[in-house]
Amino acid sequence: MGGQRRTTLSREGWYYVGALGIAIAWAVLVEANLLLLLAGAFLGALVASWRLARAMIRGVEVRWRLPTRIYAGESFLVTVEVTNTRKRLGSWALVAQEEVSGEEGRGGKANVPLRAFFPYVPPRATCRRAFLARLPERGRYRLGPPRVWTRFPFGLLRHTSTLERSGSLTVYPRLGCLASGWMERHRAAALGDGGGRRPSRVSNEFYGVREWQSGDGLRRLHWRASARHAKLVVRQHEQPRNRNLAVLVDLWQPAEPDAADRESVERAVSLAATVVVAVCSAGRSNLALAVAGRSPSWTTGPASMPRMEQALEQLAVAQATGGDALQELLQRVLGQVRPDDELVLIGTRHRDSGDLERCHAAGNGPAQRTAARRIRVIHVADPRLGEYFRIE
Amino acid sequence: MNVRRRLDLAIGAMVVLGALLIRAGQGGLALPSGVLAAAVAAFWLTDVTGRIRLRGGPINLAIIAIGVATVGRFVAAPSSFEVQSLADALVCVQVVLLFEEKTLRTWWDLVALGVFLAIVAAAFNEGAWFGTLMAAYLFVVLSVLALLFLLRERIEYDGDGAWGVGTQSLRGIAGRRGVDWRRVRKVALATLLVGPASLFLRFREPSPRRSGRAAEPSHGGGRAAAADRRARPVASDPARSGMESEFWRRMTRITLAALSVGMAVFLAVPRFGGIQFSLARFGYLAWTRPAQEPARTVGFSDRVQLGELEAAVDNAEQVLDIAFSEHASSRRYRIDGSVYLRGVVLTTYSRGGWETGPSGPGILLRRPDSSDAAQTAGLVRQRVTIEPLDRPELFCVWPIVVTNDDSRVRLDPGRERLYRERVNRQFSYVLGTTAFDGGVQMDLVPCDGRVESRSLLGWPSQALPGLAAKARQWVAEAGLAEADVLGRARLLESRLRDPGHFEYTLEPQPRDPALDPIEDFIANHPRGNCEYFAATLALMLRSQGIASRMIVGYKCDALDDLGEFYRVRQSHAHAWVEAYLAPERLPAPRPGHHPAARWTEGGWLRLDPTPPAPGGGGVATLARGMQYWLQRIEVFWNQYIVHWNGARQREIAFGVLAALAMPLRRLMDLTPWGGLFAEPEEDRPAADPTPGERALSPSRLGLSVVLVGLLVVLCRRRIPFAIRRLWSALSARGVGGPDRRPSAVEFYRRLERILARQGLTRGPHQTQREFARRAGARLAQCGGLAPLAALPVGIAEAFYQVRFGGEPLDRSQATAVEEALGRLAGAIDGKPRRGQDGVSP
Repeated sequence: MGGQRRTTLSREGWYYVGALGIAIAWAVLVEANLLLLLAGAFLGALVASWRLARAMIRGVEVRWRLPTRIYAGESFLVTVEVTNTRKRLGSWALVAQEEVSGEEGRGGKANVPLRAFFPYVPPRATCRRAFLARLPERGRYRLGPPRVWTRFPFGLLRHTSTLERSGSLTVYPRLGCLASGWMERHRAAALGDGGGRRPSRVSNEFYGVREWQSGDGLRRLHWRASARHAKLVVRQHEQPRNRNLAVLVDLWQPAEPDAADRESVERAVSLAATVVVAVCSAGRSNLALAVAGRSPSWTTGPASMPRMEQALEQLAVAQATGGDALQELLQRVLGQVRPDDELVLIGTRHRDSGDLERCHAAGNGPAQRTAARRIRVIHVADPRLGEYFRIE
Repeated sequence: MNVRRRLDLAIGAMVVLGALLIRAGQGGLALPSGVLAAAVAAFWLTDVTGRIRLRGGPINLAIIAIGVATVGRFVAAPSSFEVQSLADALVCVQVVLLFEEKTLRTWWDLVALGVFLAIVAAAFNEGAWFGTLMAAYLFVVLSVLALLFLLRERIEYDGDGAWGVGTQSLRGIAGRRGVDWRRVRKVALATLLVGPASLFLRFREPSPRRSGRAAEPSHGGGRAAAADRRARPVASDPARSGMESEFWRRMTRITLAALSVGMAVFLAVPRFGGIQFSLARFGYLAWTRPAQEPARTVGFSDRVQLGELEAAVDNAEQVLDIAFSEHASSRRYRIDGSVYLRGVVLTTYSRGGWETGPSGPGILLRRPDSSDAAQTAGLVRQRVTIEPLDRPELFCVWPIVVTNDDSRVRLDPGRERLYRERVNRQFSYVLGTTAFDGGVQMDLVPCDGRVESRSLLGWPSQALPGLAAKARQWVAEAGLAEADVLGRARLLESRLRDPGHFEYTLEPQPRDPALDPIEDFIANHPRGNCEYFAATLALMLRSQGIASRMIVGYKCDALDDLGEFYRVRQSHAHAWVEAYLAPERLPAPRPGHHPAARWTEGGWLRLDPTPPAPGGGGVATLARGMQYWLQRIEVFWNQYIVHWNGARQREIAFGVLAALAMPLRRLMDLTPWGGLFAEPEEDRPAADPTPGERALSPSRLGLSVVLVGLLVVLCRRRIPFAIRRLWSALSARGVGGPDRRPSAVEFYRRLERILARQGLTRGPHQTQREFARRAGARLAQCGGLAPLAALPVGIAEAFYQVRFGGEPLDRSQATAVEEALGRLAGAIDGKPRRGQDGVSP
């Protein structure tokens, strides 16, 4: 393994060297030949262990494999492969380590080493080891530099090889479960708010005609077809099962947030991520995600796996802000949504903070104001959030 | 067998070897045998079956009992065994711990005790067996340390899973926060009661969280174990992977390397003579002995009792060294054959014993006032250095001529011996002698003074009838006349020395106590050492009416490595005979003798009747050979290890370094090269050898060649690397030409390093150009780095120009590349990393 190599004394090594120094000094002072010989031999053992450790590290290559998607709080499988390229010398007691440190606040508190221990790697062989790991917080992490070290044979010296290589790792937000309340609201929204509104002709596609039945409204009569068939027939429109969904996430928190505020932000992100995963897993619709945070971001497109990853990555690095980024984002979003898109605003503010009024007042022009009036607001601080979303 | 079982076995072996190390040198094997039985029992009952597993209470009781018993022995035992008592106590504590339910602490305690035991053993053991046992002990201790380390690492990582280290560290920190004063009081009280043995007492741990040391080995468990079931290490079977054999191979190599380094440290650490440090209550310790203890002479004595020397060993310890030079020119005087160094003169025989004559007042040696050329011409100067000995006699080639006044050297004229007042220290003196001619020590030398021949003619005729008869028989057979004193003396000498009837041996021989030892030697058991031969010849001469005396000293024919001086050892002790020849009996022509020699008082004829040692065969010879080599090893150990001091270090260890440096120095010296064109100097006197010439002896040069060869073998894998590196360094300075300069493409390597920090690395399938384009595209996707997207391609083009186009960068290009690299490095190190691209809408 290339990179920088470094040898350090372990705590036991310092004790060993100290005791050895005393023994040698004493032996020299009183000219105790046998003691000097004995101490010299133990010093030789230290030197030999240093040379052996250096030699063992030299031919070692380490490869880390992490899953493509990692969710905060969920265990993931880490696989480490250590290859010993030397012809004759096996490598003993190798420890491979990959440092995981958070970038830019999110996950920045974590500075966790991933470590795997290999008791023995024979010459010209590869050993594999896997273990479960868990990162508690979403965000972008920096991986590396990868290190491999050994303290073989006596644990007195630690010889480390460090590669000048680093990578990054994005940990997606923690996922929860959408409860029945969310499903019902989503279905209701698909059918029209409150069930009183008629389906839009514009968005629904004409499917065919059928004979009039008792209860059918007069507006649905297809007069021309009735004349042609000489009986009353009504139009049939296809009702789409998957409506387009636009999720707006308002990551607001006070200037000096407490634990509850931070918890609200995380819950909002988790709810949004869970919705994104659910929609993209189902497919057959469009998904738009707008995050109002320190760096407002916006993505839209067909609900697919790539879209999901993009959205999750967006949510992973989203950070709350103390300012009001929602208004600006609403202006932008409302201009791009279609009239029949379902709009959900996930907010971190309190229920009485006037989010709904601000949404309704946000649009420019009648179309946008109409769309704004269709925004459903979900406050994560609302005690009734459990009806829509649960997190383990 | 897993690591733990191997560790248990190795620990048991270490304890047994430790007991051997302590007790075998004292002649008692009871303790090692007991420890061996205990170790076997502990392995089976405690480690394998688990039937006996002692815990805190019994362990503490046993250690306290051992401490009390040791204190009792300290009080009662003689002082010379006090350290032995301490060592025995350590061994007993180890045995007790062998039966403890093993934890990491148990193993650590056993290892610590083992190392301490080795130090104690080094304090009062000196035999060569200690070296052998120490090598074995070192191997076992190092193996134990390695196995313990492996076990601890497994516990640390596999026991707690992949996150175990951090958790355990936190646990350790938490454990150190509070002070358990109750526990501290317990430790203090125990220390007052049993002293340092309290280190090994077991106190109840407050909670598992507070004890990092008492962690029981736990295997698997937790998430990591679940993960391991999915992907186990490939090499999990030690036998299949060769893990076992390689481990022991590594341990063997480490032990050998440790011994080599230990030996190097031992030889190189300068000796200052040591501080005289005595531990009054600890009796004799090797540590407390003076730097140079006087050696006891073996074989040489101022009296001879036949039969005593037979038990003496063939001791190779050095007694003295003697160098010969011409007095006039100080040139080295080369000698052919053996050199006889007289010590004492024995004149009186009685029932197997030879004694010196009456002692007289010692006189100081004075240099003669008239030192004309005739006196000093042909004089050979002998410079003698005697090692610290317990005897006052001084040895030299006789007859002597005083060349320097030396008040330390005295002459006892009655006994004809030189002696000194103060013994037990190294002593050097210089004397002249007229005994040599043409490099040969003459066997006939003039008498210094008048000889009382009557005292040299006494012999117990009643007790030695066979001896006299044998002498008469030999003379009669030869038909020599009575006046032919020289011929008769030579005849008797040759009859004793020539192979046939008599045989030389150092082995004890059965003797008839009813007979005089010489009579028994002549009549019944014709085997003996040089004293028997010399005594027999002296008495035979006396029986023939020839005055004779027995001389005890050293006979040496072994030049040292330099060929400069004779190194005389204990084993060179010898006895021979001098027969007195009256002036009228001296042979008429006396060519080769010193012109200043005065023969008016007659002469002494040296006769050496001792035959050479016979060669043997069969098992007895093999046993003798083995014994001989064992003795040699013992002598070597004592001389070069136990009694190694500053003088030997300067002479031997640093001499080798001087020998290594000398060829270089000679190469740098231009004088010999200039001499190639000069006229050869005839009869140029050789000056005294310089230290450099001493260092250039064949043996030292050979040793140097061996050392250099060893160095080359050890570093054989490094040599090609070093040559390449040297070549690279030379190339970088322009020696190898401009095209080979590695700095020419260094800027591209810098580019790759910078991009690697951004997570962009070149794949094996990519060319430098492809990689640069791809990197540029990735940079373009990053918001802050987009303006730099074109830089990698530009640097790659410069690289192609240098590397493949063979055109070096001009100044402006180099500046541009440098600037681009600087911009890239600054932007990448100061900007967010890859992966943040795509965040913006």
